[in-house]
Amino acid sequence: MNVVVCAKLVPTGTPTLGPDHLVVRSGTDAALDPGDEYGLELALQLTEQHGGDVTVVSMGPDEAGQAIQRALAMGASRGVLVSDPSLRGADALVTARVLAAAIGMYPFDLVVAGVESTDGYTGTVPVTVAEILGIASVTAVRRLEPSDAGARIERMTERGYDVYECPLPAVVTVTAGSVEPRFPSLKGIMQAKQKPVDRPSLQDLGSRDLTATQTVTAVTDAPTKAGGEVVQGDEAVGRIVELLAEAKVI
Amino acid sequence: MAVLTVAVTLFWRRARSRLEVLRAARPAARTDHPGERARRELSHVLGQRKLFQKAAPGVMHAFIFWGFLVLLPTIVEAMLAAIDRHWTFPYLGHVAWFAFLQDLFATLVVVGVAIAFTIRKIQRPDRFRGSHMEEADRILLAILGIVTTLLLWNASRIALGIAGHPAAAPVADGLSGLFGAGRGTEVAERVLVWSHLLLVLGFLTYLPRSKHLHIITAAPNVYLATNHPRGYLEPLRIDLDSADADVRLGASVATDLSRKQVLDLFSCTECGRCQEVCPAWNTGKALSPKLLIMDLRDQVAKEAPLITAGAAGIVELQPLVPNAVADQVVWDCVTCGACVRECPVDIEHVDTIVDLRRNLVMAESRFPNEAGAMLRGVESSENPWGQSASARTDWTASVEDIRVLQPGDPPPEILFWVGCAGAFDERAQRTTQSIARLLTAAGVDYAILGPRERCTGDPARRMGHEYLFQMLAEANVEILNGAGVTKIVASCAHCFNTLANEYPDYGGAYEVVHHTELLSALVAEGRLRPDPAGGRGSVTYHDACYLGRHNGRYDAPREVLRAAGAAAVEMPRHGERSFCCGAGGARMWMEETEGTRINDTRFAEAEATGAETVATACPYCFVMLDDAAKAKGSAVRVADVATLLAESTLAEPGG
Repeated sequence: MNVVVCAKLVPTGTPTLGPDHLVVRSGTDAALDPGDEYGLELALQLTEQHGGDVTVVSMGPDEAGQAIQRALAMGASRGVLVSDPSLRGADALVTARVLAAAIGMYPFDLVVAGVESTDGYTGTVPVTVAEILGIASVTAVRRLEPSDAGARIERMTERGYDVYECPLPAVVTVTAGSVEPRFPSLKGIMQAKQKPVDRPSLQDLGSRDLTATQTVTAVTDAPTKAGGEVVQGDEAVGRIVELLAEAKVI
Repeated sequence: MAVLTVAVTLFWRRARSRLEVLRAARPAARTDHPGERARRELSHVLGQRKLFQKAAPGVMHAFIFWGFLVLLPTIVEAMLAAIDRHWTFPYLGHVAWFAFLQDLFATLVVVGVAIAFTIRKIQRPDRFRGSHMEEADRILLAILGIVTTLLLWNASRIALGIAGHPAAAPVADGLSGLFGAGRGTEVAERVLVWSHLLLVLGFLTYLPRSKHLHIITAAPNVYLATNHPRGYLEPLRIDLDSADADVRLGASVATDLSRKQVLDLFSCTECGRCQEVCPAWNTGKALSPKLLIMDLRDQVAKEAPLITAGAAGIVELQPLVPNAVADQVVWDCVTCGACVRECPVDIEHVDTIVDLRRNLVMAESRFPNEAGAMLRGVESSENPWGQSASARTDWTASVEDIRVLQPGDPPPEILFWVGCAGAFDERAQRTTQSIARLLTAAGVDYAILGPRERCTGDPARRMGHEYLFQMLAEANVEILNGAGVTKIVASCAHCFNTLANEYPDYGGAYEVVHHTELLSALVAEGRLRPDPAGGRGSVTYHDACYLGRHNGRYDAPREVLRAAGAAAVEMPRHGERSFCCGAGGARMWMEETEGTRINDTRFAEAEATGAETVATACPYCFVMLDDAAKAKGSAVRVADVATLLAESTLAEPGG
């Protein structure tokens, strides 16, 4: 089973916004999105058990190579980085188009992504990729096993999980905490440097419609929360009960 | 002559395989400061200093050891006499004092063997669990046989009138009554001298493959012991850009061990003193430092032919973990160094354990899952808590006038190294605040690095991630040197140890003091005036391993407590023999599921003193013992020495 994993480089500290209202991505501390590590771990476990290779695809500035190196250190065998100045500020739709085109260049049975990035939180890219590729998608996956129909998938719900039979190829997003991502060994980090990283150009991808469909016109800080009410003394218990009742918790 | 040749040849053939294993091992750079090493030979080997850490076994061993030193020439004397009963040393063979020494020390050896058997057969201490008891019995009986035949031989010579000074050898003289003066005694004399010699030579051939090899290996092992404070780990430089084959990532197979590490294995006599003090073993964990050394030794011995052949070709050695030592054993260690302190022959268990961890973490990425969060935190956020750097100054919110050293600022007289625990852990923050208030009250010119401070790398290093440590050490040294820092006060015993002992290897040489030392000095100088009448009640001080045993700082925290008006009571295990809180060696970030909890065990010991307060001097100890107190619902308070001093000194101690 060949798996393509989508990976993103995200800022590790508090991200800063540039004059164009976009996150400054160069020269800041950044790492592979921790949310992506779950998908990657699931993919690595699948290929370790059932054969096949893991390819990591990322779109971003040159620094996104770090995220790919991390994924290669964890055990992926090939990296693909799509980097082009014209993609700066790409919205979710453009990102999905680019990723879909890049994924299409490689043989795959499964595409794995995190549920959402931990910087943008749109959560729409993976399903859009599935739509563009014309394949099925299942979100919030906690377990996946190959089956006769393709894959047997457990999807997290509020109450527990649903079980799906899904034809392959498909796109799945993996829930945080469903697997324990491995910590790359130093040997892995060293070997990662020898692994191939393809850098297809936009022409190679043959993508059209790469103009952002959305622009950020203004950014306003969320209003800070007003301080809560501090209850003390003998009346505290009664007051807390009142407040909980007001909040319709009890 | 033929017998001698056979024995020596056998000995040499057996010893050579050990020697070749040593030769094939990684060289250990342990020959600096020969003066200090020679002094250690005098105290540890000749003086038997570490043996005397236990009284009866110390006397037992010293009698046997000194006895054998004195009796070594006797072997040659016996050989000469074996050829011709009248042959002896030109000078020694004729003087009364040598006859006296021989008689005295042979007797002392007999006494020593008797003590040994009493300990082993009647006392039966638990430290021998897992040791080869029958082998020990064989060795002791052989020793007994050697000296008894010697004494009886001398007695027979007295009876025959060959010996010059019967009065100088009262024991042999007394025994000579057993013999007549006739033909029978002449035969007995021959039989005895030959029995003595055959026993000695037989023992020689038995040595190389037995645990008794220590009589040859112990002295060099003591010589090669580290000259650094015990908390120091030797750096393993990792350059990721060099060729794969050149990068050593700790100890995977036997040939990855250094000569000192291999010599350690051949020096162990299985006395179990290390096992007796090990916090892991004492709380029902799999790790015993003694069994670890024995298991590694057995694998190295088993693979000896492969190892020595390996110099010429490629061999498949089995990984030491899990073949010789189970994974869990390697992770049980708190790196408290109690084993190393007890070991009479200076075996360095902790260094070997860390080397095994290095391979598991850096090459195999195999370690207890839960510790991954710590490594991730240190890797991406530069602190084990995974907090953002900007939160490092959160604790200053309730303390006035904390100077955060900005780039380009003039350096303070003392840099206060807060440490990650002191900055992020809610309980440890109280200690940090107490220290800051005290320093301000004493008018000390100090500053903190704030967000520019990173983890020293200690937890990563003790966990085995040497590369992560190296990166953090280099980054911290760059900041500290760039800021012109010359003197540092650290509140965490682990930071203290790393900054003081390990950063010099990375270009960071500073005068590093622990906060208890600085506070003690400030009190002595009169810059802090605690009110001794404040009455802190009875306090028992828990020595942090990385402050006490690893760095010899025992007095300063106790002085501070006295100044604060505390009535000190000591736990049975204190000072050099303090018992770990359970958090060292990155155990702070690992689950403790086997046996009883180390912190509970230690806290119970503290509670049993009847003290109202347990004082600590390290945030790890504080958190571990406080957890234990809370779990037990105990009324005993756990607090840092600095907090207690602040309460006695400051009008508003806060915190």
